Amino acid sequence: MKTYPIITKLTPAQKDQLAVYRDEWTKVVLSTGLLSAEEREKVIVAVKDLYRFSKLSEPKVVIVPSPIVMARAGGAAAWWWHNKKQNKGFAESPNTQSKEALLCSQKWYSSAQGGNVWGGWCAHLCFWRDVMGLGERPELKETYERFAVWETLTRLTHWRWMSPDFCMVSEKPIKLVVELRSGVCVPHCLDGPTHEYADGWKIHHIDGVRVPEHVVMEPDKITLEEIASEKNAEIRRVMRTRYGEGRYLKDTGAKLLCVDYESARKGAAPRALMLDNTGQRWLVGTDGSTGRVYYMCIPENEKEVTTCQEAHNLLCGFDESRILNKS
Amino acid sequence: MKTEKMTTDVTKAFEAINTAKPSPEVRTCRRIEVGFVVQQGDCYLHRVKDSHPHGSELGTRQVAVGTTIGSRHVVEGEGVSVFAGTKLPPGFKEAPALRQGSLLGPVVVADEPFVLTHPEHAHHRLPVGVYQVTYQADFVSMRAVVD
Repeated sequence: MKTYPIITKLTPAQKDQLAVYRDEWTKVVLSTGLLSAEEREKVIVAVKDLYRFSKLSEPKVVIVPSPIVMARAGGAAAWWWHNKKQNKGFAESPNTQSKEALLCSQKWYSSAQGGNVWGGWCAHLCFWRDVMGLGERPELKETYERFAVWETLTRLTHWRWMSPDFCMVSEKPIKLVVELRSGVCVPHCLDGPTHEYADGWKIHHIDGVRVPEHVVMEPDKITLEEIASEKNAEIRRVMRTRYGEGRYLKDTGAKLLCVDYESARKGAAPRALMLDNTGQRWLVGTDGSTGRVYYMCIPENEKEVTTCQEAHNLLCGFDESRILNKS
Repeated sequence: MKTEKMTTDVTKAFEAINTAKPSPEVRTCRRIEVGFVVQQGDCYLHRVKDSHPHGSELGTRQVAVGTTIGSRHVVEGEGVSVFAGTKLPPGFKEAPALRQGSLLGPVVVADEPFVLTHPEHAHHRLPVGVYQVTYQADFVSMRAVVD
């Protein structure tokens, strides 16, 4: 096999192309709109090629209006296919069947590929193919012919769900709202969905955190119980912010146990240990670099925790005085 | 550290937290002794002995699990590798209530200075050495913080 020198440095011309590929593929990732009739044909051919390259029989290709259709139909199909393969039949109780079907639906992404959402990988591979010369190497010709099919699907379509028998391909959203922050596209909208699909399915984000619709559209409907039961720390933070920080403290009847002013250390910020009306202790503070305020729950059985430092030691597992720098 | 014990003024404390000025500039650490730590959000890098045990190389430079923006704590540099973590740093106390091992992250082995980056938090420039990653606990889910 022919050997090639290791590339250790990009030429100025190659460096210039980085921005071109970044911008081109960012457009692909953020693209919206429905497929034309011609594009639908291309997609169907590309999916069949993808199966052929994987030595699978030709699938039935179904184009669906949104990923939620794919998740539900794909999940149900996965459950049916699994039962058939296991030769279980459908003798289980309806309750067990429902649970299994729900689980399959929740795990729909195990059989999914991201389409344009995974465009970053394509950007990387295309850059090396087109700019760095890998596309000219004879031994990679077949690989790149196969990759061209993947690239077509990445450019034209959104998520796809694949089974041995059929493939569902989702249309892209018809509306997508993002903000560019420090070079990162963050989905964010305070008065509507960030993603809207042709079948009416919508997704809502605040500062890149996916939240239930009412957190954006009807924050008055957020309840203290809902905030307390949310398992994701970022969603909890956003919910509290939407609920209203002052309102949250007032409604929980919080009492201040201790407050720290960490003026001695770079990047540090004040924080407080609070006790809400349920007896729950919360360490409230910022991380020193993002300006966000976090509420960190202290377990109820840790009654000896009475200072912010003790609370922090408990959360991070070691003596906080060992931290040299924080952000 | 100055600590004030108070019992009543929630509003004042809350205002102080809300108005604290964030510092987004890169934190540079030219020297870090074994046993000391840098913190980036919910991710901690403990400087450990060079002999600190680790598993096989992970082939990634992301030191937190996940695909969200919050999880993108990434080490960048020419001579930096990331290995599976097998042991918490000496002196680390994992609360019994937590799912055991949930705060253990990978091991970072840096033969050259490197930068711990994140799309939202300030970056940390760190010297050569071996670092054990741990995560902050979330006592709602009883696991490491998910963000």
